[in-house]
Amino acid sequence: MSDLSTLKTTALNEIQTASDLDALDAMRVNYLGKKGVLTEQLKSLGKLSKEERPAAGQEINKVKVEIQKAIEEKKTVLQEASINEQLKSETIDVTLPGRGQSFGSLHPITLTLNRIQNYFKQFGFVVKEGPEIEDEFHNFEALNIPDHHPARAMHDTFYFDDKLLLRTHTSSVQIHVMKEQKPPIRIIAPGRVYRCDSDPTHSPMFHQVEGLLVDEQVSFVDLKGIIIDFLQSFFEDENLQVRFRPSYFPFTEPSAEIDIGMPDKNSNEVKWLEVMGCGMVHPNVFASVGIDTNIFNGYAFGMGVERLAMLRHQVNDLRLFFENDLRFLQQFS
Amino acid sequence: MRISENWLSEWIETDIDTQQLAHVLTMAGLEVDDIEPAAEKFSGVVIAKVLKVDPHPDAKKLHVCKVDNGRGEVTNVICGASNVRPGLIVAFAEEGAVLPNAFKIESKELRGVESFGMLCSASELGLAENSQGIMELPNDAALGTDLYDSLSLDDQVIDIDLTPNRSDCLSIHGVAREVSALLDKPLIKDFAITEIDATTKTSIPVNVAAVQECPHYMGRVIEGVSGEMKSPLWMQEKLRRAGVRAINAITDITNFVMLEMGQPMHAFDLEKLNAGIEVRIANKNEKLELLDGQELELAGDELVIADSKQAIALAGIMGGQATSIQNTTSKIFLESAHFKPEMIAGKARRYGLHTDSSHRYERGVDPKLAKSAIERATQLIFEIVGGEAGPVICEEQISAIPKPSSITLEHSKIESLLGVSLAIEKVQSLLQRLQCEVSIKKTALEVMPPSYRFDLNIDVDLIEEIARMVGYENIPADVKALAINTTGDMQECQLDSMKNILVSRGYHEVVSFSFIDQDTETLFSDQADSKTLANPISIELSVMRSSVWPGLVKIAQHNLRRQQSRIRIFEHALQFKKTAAGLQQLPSLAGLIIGDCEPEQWASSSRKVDFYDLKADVELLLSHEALPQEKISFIPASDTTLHPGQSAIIVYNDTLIGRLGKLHPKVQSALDIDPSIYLFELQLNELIKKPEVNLFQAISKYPFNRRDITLIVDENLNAADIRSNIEQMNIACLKNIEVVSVYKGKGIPETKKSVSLGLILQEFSRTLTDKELEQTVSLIISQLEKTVGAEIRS
Repeated sequence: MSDLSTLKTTALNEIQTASDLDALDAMRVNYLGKKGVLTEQLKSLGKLSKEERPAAGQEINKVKVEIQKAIEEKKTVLQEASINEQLKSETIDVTLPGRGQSFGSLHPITLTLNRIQNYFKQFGFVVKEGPEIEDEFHNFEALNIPDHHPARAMHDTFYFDDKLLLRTHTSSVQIHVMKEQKPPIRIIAPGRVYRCDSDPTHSPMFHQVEGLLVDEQVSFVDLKGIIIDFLQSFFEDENLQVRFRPSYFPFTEPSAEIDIGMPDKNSNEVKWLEVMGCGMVHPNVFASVGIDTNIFNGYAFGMGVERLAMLRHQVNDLRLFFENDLRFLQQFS
Repeated sequence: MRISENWLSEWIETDIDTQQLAHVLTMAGLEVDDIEPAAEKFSGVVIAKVLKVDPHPDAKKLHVCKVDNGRGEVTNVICGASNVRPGLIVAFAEEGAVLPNAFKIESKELRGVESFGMLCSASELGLAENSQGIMELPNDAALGTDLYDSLSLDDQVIDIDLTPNRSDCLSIHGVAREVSALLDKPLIKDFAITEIDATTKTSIPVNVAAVQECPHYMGRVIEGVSGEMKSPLWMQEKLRRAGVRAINAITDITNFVMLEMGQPMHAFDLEKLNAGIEVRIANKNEKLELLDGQELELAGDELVIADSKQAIALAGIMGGQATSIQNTTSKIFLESAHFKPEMIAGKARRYGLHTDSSHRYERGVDPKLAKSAIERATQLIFEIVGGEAGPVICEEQISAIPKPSSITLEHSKIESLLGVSLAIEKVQSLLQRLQCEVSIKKTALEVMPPSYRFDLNIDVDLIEEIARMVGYENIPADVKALAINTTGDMQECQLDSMKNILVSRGYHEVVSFSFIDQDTETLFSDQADSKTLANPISIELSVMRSSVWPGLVKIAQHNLRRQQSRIRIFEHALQFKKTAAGLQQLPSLAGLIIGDCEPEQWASSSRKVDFYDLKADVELLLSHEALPQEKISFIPASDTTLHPGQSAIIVYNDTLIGRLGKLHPKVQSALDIDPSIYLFELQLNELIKKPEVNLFQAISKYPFNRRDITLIVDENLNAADIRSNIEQMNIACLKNIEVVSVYKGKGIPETKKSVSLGLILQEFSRTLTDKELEQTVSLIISQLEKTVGAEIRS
């Protein structure tokens, strides 16, 4: 019996010292395998007397169970250690950048257009687009700018022939819409416009957004309301100063230009920057599209997208928008 | 239109300063572009007389002059101008004078002769862009008086950008009239033009063939004038401040009358005229040489002034060379006419011309002005040039002269268009201030606009006038009428666009139940306690999950068992967290990827996704949120859910905004999933906030330089640590640091790795020298040697 007891002590000690799962498994085979030490012991029971056998057998089985348990326990410990070892070896530098494509960007003009559209969509304004190669009627005549009107000189127009031109403003979309659609109308018309002018502060192609609302009982008070709210939202400044001053557009009467007040860096004074034009739709415009001014009136407004983008993103040179230098575009990702 | 404030003050006293006046004009639709002083300040310049001019003994081009300063002192002054001569009245900058640009006049010796001051040219005094020779002042100028004071140069020029409808303001009188209406103050004077009686009977035949185009034509012969005479200094100064060049007295007077009253005029040399004047439509291919030397071949639809032989002027646009005022001119024919705007419009542009005259005629000139203007000009010619005038010749077709017609304005229309209510009497008085004749007829006003307001034709035109007089700033603003309350929010739905980004990166959106079983919850949570339903459908659906991940992992498990080996999914849902502060329900966007990085295809071989694939997607989502990348950090971190060596938390401005990493192998084996799973989770509350505006940073025009360095560092050192150690140095010209390679293995000691960095260096305003580049790179290297024990591999 002392043999068995020694065997057990030896085995348990041995198991504790097992350095890895393979060694442990070798021990399992050595003690518990078909030709293992304990199996041999069990086989040797046959040499004992019938009376001695059960007790001896029980003793051996007890030792066997203990060894088995020790092996299982050690196995868990070793497995844990092995996983931890593996995890440690798998450690990577998570601060390295992600793999693959760099991030692109939307053009600042698109970003600005989106902002404008998102604002007016909330008020039920629908986005409408019109042709860029336009005729005299839609670009000028229907907008109360007859031939040889001095206002035509305000627009340096690109012509194809006598009648066909590149639209000088998105106001032409007003006419398309009013010809097709009965009031009430709420639209905004974003898009490219063209003027025969190119210098550091003028681009031959630029962007405007035109807005038009036609309904019963619309007044200048409403126009001021939406424009002020729009500009304060656009510039994310609910205290932004906005002023309306009389101006002249043939297609609106009364007409106004809209300035925003920016604090001058060098003095305490407010610097006024012109950002938009607007007014109540001129009766001649309604007449040209057959809308009854006894029932309806409306307002229209227009803004230069580049100008708003320059103010919002503090871009100091209009030409940057069309140079499309990647170092510029990247700044808007 | 450039308005001298002094000149304006001859017409109206405003008792407000220049800035206030500019504000009043701007807010009334006469936008003031600029206010500039009439001249730069100078002092110590007196009106003096040259007594004697001797050649300089030692310099061919210089003269030694004796100058009388008008105070009885005669001084030696050296002058290089060719027009200096005895008797000339000059602008004399005495010793101690200060000219524009703080140019001080001191006595000095010029080649052995002393000079005590300087005789000035107009440009030296800032009175002209450029000038030839010294200023020649009129003979009657008061000697000894200060030139700055005597020219009243302490004056401001207000530059008004007039809209095309306001041709009535293209004169001093017109602007004064407008100011008078705006401030409700009377004009000091008005045109009480006295008719100048003819002193001779000389006349010429005038025939207006184009009566519709020229309904009113006036002229008169003036004899005994001098074409070479200069206009007086006060007139030249008024012209200069208005931006008109002085030429000769006769031309200057016609320009002066145009600036003062708004009526363009023209003077022909009578002796060059062949038998009278004809106003007619041009013949096709007719030739005309203009004053500016341009030779026109006319199209045949222009209005011309002609004599019996040929066209001599493009009516209302520019006179012809043949009949222009010359030094020898002694007799003139003075023209003052009304041309129809439609006849002038577009014609000047056709020939690339834009004259003061065409500018006014295109926009409309008050038909009542022609008569007053010709009398005013005659009066000025008599005063300045002298001469004898013949009778005024007048050809007119009264029916063709534009006349204002009466406009009916319904009182109620004002309120319906402007949105403000004004008493009918108030409206009447506002319009009367604008010189309209107004009578009230029950609910309407009957309005007759003045002859010069071509822009007042229909009721809404009057409503604009009323709004202007009230002040646009005094009309309220209201959004009520739109009947929709908005948030004023201009952000695109950020969540939607984040989802779209994931979709374009191959992710599918999934929707899984918010309640799961306790065992799975425990696998993914470090929370001891969870929010549990009292009456769940089943025990499997009883616990409100504290993370979206278990949902994603279960879906992955489901799909893996159905032969889907490449899985990319995301879900937007609330996380339910029990915290010390109570239950929190936090929106989150979570994603999972498994399997090949690309769908199976022919063009590239496949590879399994790893941490850096997932990170790229997360970085993209974060960049979309316009969070400044430099403020976002990925910090190694582990929890019971994620692999301790392949996971990180995401921190922005010290706030935890998410986490990502590889699923812990233990969790995987507990769920019996074989392939590696990578997960991310973003806290939307922290992420979808007001983004910062991208402010443009100027781009350097100079080339950048790149220097690469390779470091041997401890294998556990992170790239972020290397980067932050360099960034702490605050090197201005270091624009970017890229990690270009990381290597462990052969040739590198056991516990080390090599890291190669690309350093992008650039100065904004110049090119960096090689030496500077070397110095900067070696500074960086020594910093890294010190702080992270890096060795440099050459």
